[in-house]
Parts: sequence; structure tokens; C-alpha cells
Amino acid sequence: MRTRAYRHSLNGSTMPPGQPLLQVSDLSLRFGGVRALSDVSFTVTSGTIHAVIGPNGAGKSSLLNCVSGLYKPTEGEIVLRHVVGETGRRLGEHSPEERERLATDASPHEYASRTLTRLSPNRVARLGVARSFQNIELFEHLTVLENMMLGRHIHMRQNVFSAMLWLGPARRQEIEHREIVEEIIDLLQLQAYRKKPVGTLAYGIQKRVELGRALALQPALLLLDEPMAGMNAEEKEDMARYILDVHELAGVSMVLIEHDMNVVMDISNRVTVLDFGRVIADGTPAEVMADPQVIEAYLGTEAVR
Amino acid sequence: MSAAIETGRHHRSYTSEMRLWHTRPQMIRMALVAVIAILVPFVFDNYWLSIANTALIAAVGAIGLNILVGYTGQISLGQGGFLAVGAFTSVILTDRLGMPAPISILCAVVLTSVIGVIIGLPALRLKGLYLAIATLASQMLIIFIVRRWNWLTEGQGFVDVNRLEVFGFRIERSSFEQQWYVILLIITILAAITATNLFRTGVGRSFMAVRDQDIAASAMGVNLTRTKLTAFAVSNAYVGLAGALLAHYTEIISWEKFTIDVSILYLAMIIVGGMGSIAGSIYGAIFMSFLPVMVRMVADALGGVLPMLQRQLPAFEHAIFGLVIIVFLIAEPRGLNRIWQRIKDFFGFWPFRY
Repeated sequence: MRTRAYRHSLNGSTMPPGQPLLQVSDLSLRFGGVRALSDVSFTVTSGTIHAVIGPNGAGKSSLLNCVSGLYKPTEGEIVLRHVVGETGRRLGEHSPEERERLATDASPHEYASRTLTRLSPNRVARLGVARSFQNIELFEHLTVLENMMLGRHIHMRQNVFSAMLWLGPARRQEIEHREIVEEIIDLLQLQAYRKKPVGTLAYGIQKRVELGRALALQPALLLLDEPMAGMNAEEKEDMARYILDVHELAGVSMVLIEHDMNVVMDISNRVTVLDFGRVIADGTPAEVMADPQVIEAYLGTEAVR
Repeated sequence: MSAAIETGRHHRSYTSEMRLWHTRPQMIRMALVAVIAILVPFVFDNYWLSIANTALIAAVGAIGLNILVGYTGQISLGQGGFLAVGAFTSVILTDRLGMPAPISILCAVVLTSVIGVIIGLPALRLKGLYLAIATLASQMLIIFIVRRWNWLTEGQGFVDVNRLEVFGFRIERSSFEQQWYVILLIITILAAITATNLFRTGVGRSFMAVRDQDIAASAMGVNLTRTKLTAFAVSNAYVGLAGALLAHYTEIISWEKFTIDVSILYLAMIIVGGMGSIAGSIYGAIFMSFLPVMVRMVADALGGVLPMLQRQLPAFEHAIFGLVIIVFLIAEPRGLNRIWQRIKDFFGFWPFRY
């Protein structure tokens, strides 16, 4: 798979693997009288694929929307943790070199956390939380390349005047970020579609572009909302491969919502099960599968004898 | 999108790939356009040249409107009002305060831009039809102020504008249209190039992202507030420029030139030309500027058969105007620009169909 050396790390987190990266505590979300989430707590460990599963309407997407700032939770807190380097920079302010050094440095660090709960979506994205959507939400009239370049938005300086005059800095910036985007295109094998408007592409490809666009942020945490929804077995397998590639080559930590239990069992390190807005189980895939409450939620009580 | 010309083209650097024109046909076309543009003042008489000049000013305004409506998806019915702001600002600064024209035009651009940002504030909350109504309100408000504020026109109801003078260079009466043509051509080219540049960099991309999927854009870290207001500012800078040029070129301004009809005319230009296309804005501006002239010519030609047409010329013009918009909306919503693309593709693929 690794066809050439990738020069850029796609992982935007400074947390060493094994450390808690995202902590969700006592999260509740109400829409009027509807309780979408009640006291949801779980921790995503850095360097893992953390699956969130549950029947329809269990609150999985609501949970993801809370993390990415699209919904404001009624109660509870979501924090993203990071390493305080010697420069004292905060989350989202590190240079790529510094980030990589901190993430690979084994010596003990001082950790700090940043509350995401009351930030607007674009501020959350700036801190390095990238996401894909359940129903594809690409910029349909733009090309694959432009979509992915938009993933680089938070890393680019936006100057209207130098852009309009096509001055050196604006031009150089485009090229600089294009190089990272090209690595992602290579990783996800999207070369053939680079200049195609995404609206014209097949569903499976669009899903892949959405993954690529999120990856282009160099995320500290990647949230994937049903990346394999509506795919056939073959496409699912391809997508699972890409997700594993991203995880293994880039070391990006992920929260993954998925319905297909086989996929979840195969690729995730840890699973949180939601039902009616509550966490009913949390553990390794094997533990969760054996949990009587999970079996009840998925198969009904009659099946358990 | 025009797949035909992509074949066999290999870039060795991103710089070469990002150039605006790559292939020989593109170069030849641009050269041809340049030759035609240079020949126009020698071939056209003053009447036709005056229409060409109006079309060039309209092109600048249409580029501005397209940045907002076509590229950022924020519908605006306030174009006429914004043109008025640019026109009155520049004229008052030059004629009454004695500012050099380039500086007063720049001031007009900045002020129109600022007013655009203020008018754009509702866009942070409103979308689509609701935003259209909000900008319609701004149009009404600006025209109301222009009509009632006597100081603007010194109580005359209109402003007589002095002949344009740029640092000692004065437009001459004998070659008025020709000299204006050169000035306007250069400004239009610059406007088109700067707008094109905007949309091959991050700023322009974030505009288009807001148009296509604002929620996804915010999840990618695009600040919607900032982006929408920037779009209003940039768009209105062009509109203010067009307004100022219009004032200095026509040498007389009054509120009647900036009514809601003008806003709709500009919307028609970008619909006919092509939403979300800089070239389309120019095609649309040229098309809509020459349309009334063509209609008049048709009416004259049919004068013997249908004298009614000549007698009812304004009504006939309106009917054709409406018909053109409807035909484009139904037959080719992406406008003249798309039609041109298809023509190029046809010859690019020839003798194959695709």
C-alpha cells in the first residue's frame, strides 16, 4: 500500500498513544421534551479507533454533533487533551514539527485540556477535530481537489488582497498545501478524480473524498459518521482498508459510528454502545459483544435464553 | 470540466498547472479576444461605442454581484442601491471636495464595501428568499435616502458631474467615447483577473464552500460570519467601482438610475451569463446591454409590417427582457458560459460526440 514516503504526518494530536485524548463526561442533550442523550460519559484513548454503536435513534449522531460543536449539549462537558510543550503553546497552535516531536517524545509531559462544549463548529475544527457526515455533505460544485484544499482551510492564511493580486505568498501557500493534499489523494487513491466536480462522482468515491477532506485538516481527532453506510460488501471492505491505512500509517485517533457489527468488531479497538441516549456498555469489542444488555438492545430479550 | 482539452497535457510543476491558460487554442482565443477588443474603437461609431462602454461598466458590476450571488450563494436585490452609494460618493468627493478622481473612486469603493458589510449583517441569520427580502429593504432604504437627502444633489434632484480628469489628463470631447473605452477596458480586465485569482485561492474557495454546504464548511473550520461578511465586502467593492465609473462616464446621476429595476437587470445579467462564473458575468453584461438595442433594431425592421411594435417599444422591450430570463432559466440555467463550454467541447471532441 505504501507506494512512496509520505512527507507530512496527518496526525494533528500531540498526545502520545495510550493517553486519554477526548473525555466526554455526563453529557446530556435535550430537544424540548426529547432526551437525545442522557449522562453519556466515555473516554477516547489516543491512537485508537473508538467505535460508537447503537440502534437507530440511539443518539450516536447527536453525540458526534455535540463533539464537533454543531449541537450545544444541555449539560456535561467535552474536553480535548493535549501536551503542553516547552513553548507553552496551546491546542491548535503548534507548528507541524513541534506537534510531531511532542507526539513521539516518550518523556513525561505536562498535559492540559481544552473544553469544546461551548465552542462554535469552526473553533472546534481549528483545535483539530475533523469530521465526516452521515449524509455526504461535500461541496458538490467544487472539484475533489478543491474540496480537499478546503480541508486545509484552518492551516492557511486568508488574505483577500494577496489572493486577488495572486501575489507570491498566496501562490506559494496554495502549492505548499497542495503537496499535503496530494499525499492524501495518493493515500486514498483518488488520483483519477482529482479535477472532477464531486457532485458527478459515484457514492462510494464521494464517501472517500469526504474522508480525505477531513484528513486534510491533519486532525487531532477524526470523527466518522457512518463512513460505510449504504455500501455493498466490497465497498465496505475497501473503506475499512482506507480507514485502517489512515489509522496505521498516520496514527490518527478516530471515533467511528457504524452499524455493521462485523466491521466494528474487525477494525475498532474499543466500543461504546448507546441505547436511548444512554451508554449501556463500553469496552473491547469482545466484551461488548458478550454483554447481555447489548444483545438485548440489538436482538431483543427473546433471543437470550 | 471541458474534458476535451485535458488529454495529453502533462504538468511538471504545480506552478505550471495553476496557470490560467495552458493550451494553444486557449492562447489563440485570448489573442483573438484581445485583437477584437483593440479593434472595437476603430470599427464602432460613437453610438455603438457608448453601448460598449456601458456594457464594460455593467461587467464590473456583474462580476461584483456574481461574487456574492453566484459564488457565495447570498442572494442580493440591493445592487442598485450599492451602485448609488459608489456613484454619489465618488462624485461628491471629486466635484465638491476637489479630490483627484482615482482617490475619490477608491473612497467610493471602500465606502460601498463598508455599507455592504453592514447590509450583510442580516445574512448571518437569513438565507435564500428571506435574505433577498432583507437586501430588498436595503435597496429601498438607500434609494429613499438618496431621494430625500437634499444635500446630496444640492436640491436639484440630480447631480451634474464634471468631465473626468485624472492628474491633469482630461477626457476630450472629440474622442470622449474612445478614451473612456480604453479606461473601462483596462479596469474591466483588471476586475476580471482579480476576481478570477480570488477563486483559485483559499478565500474564494471558502466562499464557494459556504454556498454549497455551510454546515460542512463550518465543520472544516470556515468562520461563516467572517466569510459571508468578506464576500459582501469584496462584492460591493466591485459594485462601488462600477457605480463610481457609471457616474463619471454618464456625467449625470440621479436616483432614477439606481432603482430596483437595476438590481433585477444585474441579476438577469448573471443568470443569463452564468452563475458562479467570472466570464459568464461579462457575457451576461454584454448580452443584456446590447439586448435593448437589438430589440429596437428588430422593431424598426418590422416597422412596416407591425407598426404596433414601434409604438409600444418600451413594453416590447420589457416582454423580450422577461422572455430571455425565462428561456435561460428553463433551457440553460447555467447561462451563456455553459453554452460556450459546450461549443468548445463539441469541437474538442469532434468528430466524436463525447
